[in-house]
Amino acid sequence: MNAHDFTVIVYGGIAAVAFLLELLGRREGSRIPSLSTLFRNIMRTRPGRVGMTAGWAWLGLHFFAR
Amino acid sequence: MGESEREAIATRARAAEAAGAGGAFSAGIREPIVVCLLLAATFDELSGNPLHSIVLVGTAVALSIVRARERVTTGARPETQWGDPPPLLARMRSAIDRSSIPLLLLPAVGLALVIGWFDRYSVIASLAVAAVGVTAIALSWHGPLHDEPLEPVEPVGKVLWALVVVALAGWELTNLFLQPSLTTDSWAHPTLSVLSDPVLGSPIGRSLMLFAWLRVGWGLLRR
Repeated sequence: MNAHDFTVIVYGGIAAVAFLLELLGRREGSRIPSLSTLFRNIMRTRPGRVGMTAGWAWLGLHFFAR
Repeated sequence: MGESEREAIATRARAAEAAGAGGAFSAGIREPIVVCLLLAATFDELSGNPLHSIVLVGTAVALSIVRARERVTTGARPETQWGDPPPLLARMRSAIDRSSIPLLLLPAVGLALVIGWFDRYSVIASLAVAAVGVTAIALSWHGPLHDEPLEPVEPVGKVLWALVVVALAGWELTNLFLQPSLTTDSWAHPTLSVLSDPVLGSPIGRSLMLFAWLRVGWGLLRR
């Protein structure tokens, strides 16, 4: 396995953990929130709401703009 | 002039004074979100992306100024006062709140196709994406479009999700620093943007990903 493959596998592992957390969060009575619930909680204050939106805007800039 | 009016004027004067450079700095460094925005802006500037830095620093400074004012008017740890948006933003918020996915599909697909048709990182694509992002930040400034009941989140859930975010950010930064330089891509140590190059290199791939980005933004605004 070369460095490129290892890097990709770690990214994939992190994505798999996030997917697993989301699945667990959607179960009835789970102590883990789904992403939707977590975002709604973070976004109840202005810094949280604006910060989340700025993070989303940054993703767009990062991948499409210079 | 009544007592309450004099008190309101005095409070506004104190708020304006607190929103100066010192007050804004003091309020900003206490906000984790502001610190995160400034850190991201620093790395973006180091990576040669001034447009990204301007958007992030502008947002962080505006948040710091508002928080400094809120601290004066409502105490050390105030609840957010959303305030009324300007008329244009109010109309846009109302339109988004009333719209449905099918109604927004046409402009979103149109925008994704048009921006995706231009070269990646071209001036027009960059300005269009920046305009959409800044507009969304302005729309989010005045709070949720409508009130919804809030489901409580247990600390263990927050910690688990925070670990995922820290792991992703840490791995991305590790690969960024393992590149030959901050502005030179590496095949051996690719960042997410390098890994996305094959998809975003074609107009169709760009349009699809732009549409996904717009869809996520629409979801955030309605949250």
